[in-house]
Amino acid sequence: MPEIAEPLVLPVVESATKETREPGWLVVCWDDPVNLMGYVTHVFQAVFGWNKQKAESHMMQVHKQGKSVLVRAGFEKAEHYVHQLHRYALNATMERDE
Amino acid sequence: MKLVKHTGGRFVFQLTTREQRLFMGVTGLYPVIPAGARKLVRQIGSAQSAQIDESQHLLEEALAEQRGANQRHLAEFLGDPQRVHTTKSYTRLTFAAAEMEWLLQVLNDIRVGSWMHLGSPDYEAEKRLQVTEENVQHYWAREMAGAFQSVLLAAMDASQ
Repeated sequence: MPEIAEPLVLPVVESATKETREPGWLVVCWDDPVNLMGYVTHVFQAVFGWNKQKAESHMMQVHKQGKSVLVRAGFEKAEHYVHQLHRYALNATMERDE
Repeated sequence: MKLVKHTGGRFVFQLTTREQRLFMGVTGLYPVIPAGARKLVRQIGSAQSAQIDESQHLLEEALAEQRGANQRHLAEFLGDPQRVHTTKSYTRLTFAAAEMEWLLQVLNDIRVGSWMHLGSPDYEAEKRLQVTEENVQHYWAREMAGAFQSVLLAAMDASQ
């Protein structure tokens, strides 16, 4: 009679471990009042691939509230987005999502 | 400066002689944003400081490399008679779509950098414009860069 294999039970730690390993970072765009509104909208579309409506909504948030959280991502992706926004001379940073 | 033709992903703009001189004068200032002016993070927690320091260093290297490449590209572009055609009364500039994106970046560096040299004025925060003999050229550079950007953005918008 063949031996019955023990059922393989995976530890239930995925979400907590993932959270610890890959903390979230927020990509934030800050208002430099010199930037043209149409330019900021254009950059958000170019960098994030957003439609015009979404890009305009974030642009208006930057304009009225002084900043907008654009995306939440892992460290490297957030760093990549900040680099891209700096290429366009926008004032962007990444902040730990705590 | 006005768009005169847009076909096959190429944009042709016509500038008067005066506009052409202004365009050359403004783009000749590039780069204007001081090196190290852009930060990756606003506040560094001690736990991440080593990683952030390294990334900040890489960011500054990447931006310096990009500024150098943009300067070379700009010089090549402005020296290419196929792309810059000048007559007695006007100049025509021909850009591929990807170059429009690149030129927007160059112009915004000039606009934002000039604004920084003017003391980063912000009227809502009651931070006044500070024009001096040393930075007065940045006043017109900021305005002209914005005017050229507006024409490019309108042309790109109309082409979609």
